[in-house]
Amino acid sequence: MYHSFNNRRSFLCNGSQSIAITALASILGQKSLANDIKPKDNSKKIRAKRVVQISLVGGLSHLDSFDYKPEIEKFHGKKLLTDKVPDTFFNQVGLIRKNDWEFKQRGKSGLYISDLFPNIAKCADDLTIIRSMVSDSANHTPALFIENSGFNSNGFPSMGSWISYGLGSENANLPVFIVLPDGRGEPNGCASNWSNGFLPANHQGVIFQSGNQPLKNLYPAITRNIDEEKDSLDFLNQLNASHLSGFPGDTNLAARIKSHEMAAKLQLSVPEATTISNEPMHIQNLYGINQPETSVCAQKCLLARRLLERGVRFVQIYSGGPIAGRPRASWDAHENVKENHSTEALKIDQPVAALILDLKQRGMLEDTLVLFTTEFGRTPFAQSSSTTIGTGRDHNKYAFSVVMAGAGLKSGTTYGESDPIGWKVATNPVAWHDFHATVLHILGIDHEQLTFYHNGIQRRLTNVHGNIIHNILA
Amino acid sequence: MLKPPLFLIIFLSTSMVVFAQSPDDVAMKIIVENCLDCHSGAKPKGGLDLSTRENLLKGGDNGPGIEINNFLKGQMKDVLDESRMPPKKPLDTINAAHLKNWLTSGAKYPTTKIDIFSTTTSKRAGKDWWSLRPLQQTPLPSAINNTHTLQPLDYFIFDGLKKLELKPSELADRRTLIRRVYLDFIGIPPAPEEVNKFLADKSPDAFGKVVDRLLASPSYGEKWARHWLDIVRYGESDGFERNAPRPNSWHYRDWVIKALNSDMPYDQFVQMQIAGDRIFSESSDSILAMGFLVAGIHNTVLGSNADAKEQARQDEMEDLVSSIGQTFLGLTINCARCHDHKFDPISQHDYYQMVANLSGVRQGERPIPNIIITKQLTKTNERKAELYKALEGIEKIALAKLGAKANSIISKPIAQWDFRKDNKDSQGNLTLKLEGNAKLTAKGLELDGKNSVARSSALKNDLKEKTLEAVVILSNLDQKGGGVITVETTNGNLFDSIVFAEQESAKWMAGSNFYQRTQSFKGMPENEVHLKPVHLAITYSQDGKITAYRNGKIYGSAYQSKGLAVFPANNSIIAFGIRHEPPSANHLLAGTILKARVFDKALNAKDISTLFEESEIFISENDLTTNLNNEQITLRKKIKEEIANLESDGKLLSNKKDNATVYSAISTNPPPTKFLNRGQVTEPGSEVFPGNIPVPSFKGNFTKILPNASDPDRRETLAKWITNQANPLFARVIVNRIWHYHFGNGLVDTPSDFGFNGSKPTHPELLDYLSKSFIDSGYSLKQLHRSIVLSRTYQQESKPSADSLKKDFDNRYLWRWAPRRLDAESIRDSSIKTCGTFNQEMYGPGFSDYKTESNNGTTYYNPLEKFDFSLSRHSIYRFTPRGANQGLLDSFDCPDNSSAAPKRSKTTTPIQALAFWNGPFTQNLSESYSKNHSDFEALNSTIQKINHVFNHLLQRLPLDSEKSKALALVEKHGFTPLIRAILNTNEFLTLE
Repeated sequence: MYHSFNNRRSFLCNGSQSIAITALASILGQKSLANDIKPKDNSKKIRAKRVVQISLVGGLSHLDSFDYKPEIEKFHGKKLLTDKVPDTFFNQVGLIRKNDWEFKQRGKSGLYISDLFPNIAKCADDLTIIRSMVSDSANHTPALFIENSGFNSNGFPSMGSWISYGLGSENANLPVFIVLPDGRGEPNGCASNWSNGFLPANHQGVIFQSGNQPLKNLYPAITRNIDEEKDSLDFLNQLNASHLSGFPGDTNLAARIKSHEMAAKLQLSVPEATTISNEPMHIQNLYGINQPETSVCAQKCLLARRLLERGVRFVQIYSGGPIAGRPRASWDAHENVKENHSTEALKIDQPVAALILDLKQRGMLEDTLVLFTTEFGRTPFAQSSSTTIGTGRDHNKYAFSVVMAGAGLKSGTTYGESDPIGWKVATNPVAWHDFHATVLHILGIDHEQLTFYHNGIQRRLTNVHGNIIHNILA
Repeated sequence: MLKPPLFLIIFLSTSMVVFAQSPDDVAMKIIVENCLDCHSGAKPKGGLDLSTRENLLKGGDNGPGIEINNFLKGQMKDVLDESRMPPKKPLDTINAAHLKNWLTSGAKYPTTKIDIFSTTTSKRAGKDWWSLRPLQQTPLPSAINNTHTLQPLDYFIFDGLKKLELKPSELADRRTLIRRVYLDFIGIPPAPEEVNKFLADKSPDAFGKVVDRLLASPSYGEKWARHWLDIVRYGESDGFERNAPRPNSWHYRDWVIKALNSDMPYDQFVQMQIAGDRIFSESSDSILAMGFLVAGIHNTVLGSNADAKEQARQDEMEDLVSSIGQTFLGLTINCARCHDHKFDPISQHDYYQMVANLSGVRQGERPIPNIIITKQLTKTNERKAELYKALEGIEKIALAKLGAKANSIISKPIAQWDFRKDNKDSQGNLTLKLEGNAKLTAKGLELDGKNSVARSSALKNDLKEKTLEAVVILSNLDQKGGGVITVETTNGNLFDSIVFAEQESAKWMAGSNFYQRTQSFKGMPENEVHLKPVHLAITYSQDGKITAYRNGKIYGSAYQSKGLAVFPANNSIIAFGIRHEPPSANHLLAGTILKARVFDKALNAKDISTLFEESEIFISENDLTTNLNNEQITLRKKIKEEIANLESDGKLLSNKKDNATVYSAISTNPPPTKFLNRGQVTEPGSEVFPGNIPVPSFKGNFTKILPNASDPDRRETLAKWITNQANPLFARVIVNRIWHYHFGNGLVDTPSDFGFNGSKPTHPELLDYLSKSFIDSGYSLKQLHRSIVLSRTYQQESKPSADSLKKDFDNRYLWRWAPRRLDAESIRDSSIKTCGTFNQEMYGPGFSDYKTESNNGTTYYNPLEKFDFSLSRHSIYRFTPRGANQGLLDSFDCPDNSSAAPKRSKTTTPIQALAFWNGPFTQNLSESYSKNHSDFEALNSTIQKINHVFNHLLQRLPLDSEKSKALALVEKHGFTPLIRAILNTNEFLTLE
């Protein structure tokens, strides 16, 4: 990474004694900023080294999954008592609808989780549920942007990119930030969701696909024989070496030579990391690789674990593709929550639970942060005519739930509350900026210190906001 | 009185200012610097306002700041004693002691309220900030011994180097220089002939000539428009949720290219973009220029909530204020939307004044006045026709001297006509019958497009593989669907024909029954076949491949059809002027066919090229120069230049005509602008009227503007204020940008931020010197370029020196030309130019290298993973939606234009290496090298071919060591790996 902005990283490089070496490491994005952005208070520590996020696109109904509202039953079939017409996306405010799945207390902690996620529910004692999330937008695309970058338009770096910028790489042979989109397509806003924004391009989320070429351009677009490939690279290296001899000490030129070596290493490390068939059968079965409903997500979750194991900082798994179209390819259950959520949950419940279990049995949950998020929740009233209890629910930015697990968290707990029917947050609202600040904090990063100069402002993931949710930290 | 005399201010590295001060001044400075951020303004912390003595006495929630009878009693004293303030970092002992002394000596304030913006402190810029002060006239530093002619700017640079005990580098060698200046100015490397010409030119102004040629080249505007579009956040989709494309926004891009190429004075360039509709109301271009105002993102999904709508509008205003402030003034005015600027002397009120200046601007489609365009177009076309006649006149002189050319025998045609002589087939004895108004004259076979056709007698043999050839001039370019030469069965059910403008206007096509063998060649639209004869040929190969040629060169690209048609003997004819039977109006051609031939085989490219050269409409440059005198040659050159200019004008005009609307600013009645507390739409305050940003050295004419002024009035005032000579920021900012793009770093390293958070100029005197010269030149960007590029500083070599690297690693003081990686688009353009067929088509709607999918109102843009001729135009014509996946270009830091990118980052990553090493772009280009260089295959030896590749890609011959390695590689694997490797070298990708 090379740029001459007044940012702390180039400051570090230029202030260093061994300029060339430091700069080279920095150009290639290997150098970590960790020392510079550690919270000043030494009592705070680095709790997590890596993150895996399962991002549910479309809007998971908190009322049917993680936010137990026993009182909603009383209101079932009644009108929402309010003097103001609730602002919803489609403006079809039906009668209040109770949860479609039964809630039960789970594990020792007794957390209420519904039968929508029977396997994840078994992990209750490892989970931390935030039931008081709020967002600034109830439109999918801006809401996804806010979830990922803290801003409602494109052009801002995503959380994974900030973490890449802040912590650098632990394994130079794999990208720092990897994205595993839903097999049915990319979510609204596509690449903007894992964009590096104005951060240098090496912090961009890199997509891994299934198939022979997990990483784009890993192999030549036109097949070349091995011999030719090797001879071409040798020739390139020879030309570059003789060219470099005219520029002793030029770190940028040296970095590009090195980038080809690293590219060659990727050709070995990527197939190695992505060959999940090397996993023992009982592990494959744990994730549900061999069952048709769970297979796709299972492969992603298992791949995520392998990537995290190999030093990847941030893996983002998407559950849900583009919003539009029929049948729905996301959690956007406007028509029928029961039908839609059943189908979607079946795909991910076992694999996600398996990921948590697997991380735990390997001791990795101690320093891995698992995030299970959605861009907003759904309304307690049905999306239907004002006199019926329709089967679908509209978008709700005023209250929804996200789930976290792993490093640094108080597990088996909940934080915040929504009102008795789950329409708006009642206590401890958590904005995405707060969520982001907390994630960075768990990674040992002070969100106010992780900045990058752009067009006159030292930009932050948390803009000028962000309160760490200390109550969920262990 | 707090403002110190300017000459006493000196720059320190930490931006502190030091000036002559009384003890009271020092006390004020300590207060401004440490206290007033919280303890002043409408809601001071703890109710305590320290900006006046009166308020200090009055005190706040915890009692008076000082007691009236005893200044050493009160909060001020307590706080100082207990070292409590500022909370995070209390005053040091020296400053605290000074303030205590000040209290003792009477706590004197200046007579007026202290202005937090008055002076620069260690935490923020005041109104005395360097960039806000008037331009300074500094004499040139003393001369420096140097053999090279120095430009004024060299004196400043060399002086700076001397102070740091750095030495300038040697002059770069000529090959490096020409490569550097080409890539810098037009984004593509020079062709080998251009390098050789420069190497051979021993005249003292050889480099100057190259520079002038590049500045005169239309590609200059194409390359530098990209820079400008980066700065002004120009994107071709709305962004946000829907991200709909803006099909008519390219007019602005074209306008920028043209303005730069014509060296439009920079003040006019800016005025047109802000208020062209008022200041240049007679020019239809002003509407295009105002595309600037709406080049940013636009939220089209607002929902039903009024606050949300207002919020979106305010966001849009911030985008616009931000763009105006940063682009032209280097000021981040936008940072004052929710509170006074934290670092620069810009109040929140200033921000809303700027909003008021612009609040009448809305996004939308604006019609382009059609009458003006039509008139202009007619004028252009008339002049073009005159010029063509004049050109023909001159070329005839040479033709006459040359005499008749001998026809080489390539292949015997099966039929051959020269209609200027007669209607006899001199090869196959087919007879020809003229029908309708078709007639033979000295010009050829004249066809009126209404009922004229000529048909031959039946072919004597089956015709399968074939070549159709004709020389034709058309009556007009507006006609559609006529055939020039056709092979068809007598009923017309089966046919192959050279057809004009049937599916794509003004383009050639291989017509066939039910388009069975028809695809688009993706060639260029015609712009001269109505003015002079054009040679056309289409070949139909055994394998079904169909290739078209225009004036001896491949037209667009060849394609594979489903297979060859067989025209049976005795039942097939050759026809002229008709696409196929029957002769209905849209099958007929209006024009004159001079000559025609039919071959029973598909001729190759070389044959066609020979046919063209012997077609009597062709005359080689060599033949011309040897048969014309100097005067004629010069005249001809001048005419040709004018034609080229008219053609680009004409094209732009026709595009305007076809596209009757342009995405631009709509001027509306400005609603009242409210001061928004904390920037919240839910907390509107009092009304704010149009006004300027208080640059202390320059007030401008805002005083004259009325609170209820119309939108154009407001923008006119703003534009004139921004571009006023007395506004010190205006010239400084653009001069620094131009410097930045030439050297890779600006004198100020944050080109869009000349405020406290930006960096300081390394050479403030030089920046002012250049700014003044720039104003004196009448704001000529080209003169500015010239003075920079012809400097000794620019022409230094790029080799590093260990000693200099130690002192100035980033080369901020210009002890060398610092090598830098090419930007994404230059990499793309250079690769296409050197390995492919560069499509020179200028202007008009862009090309898209995206798979664009629209799904339920939202548009998605993903890279098209292929590469062909239609995509090989200059990158400035790439469709540039926001938030798109740009594939290869992303990896080379091509910015997402969702926000301005005044300075691009330059990263090096393994993902980038993979994309350029393995991706389809490089792979396809490497494979097509030999095909795209017509002289390549004819070279005798492998070594010559290797030299050819090195010369084109790197503008040099291989070293001996490289030669042997290249030879080994090529002998084993062919040329593709050689080209692929060289494209990936540091040398190819780096501007040295």
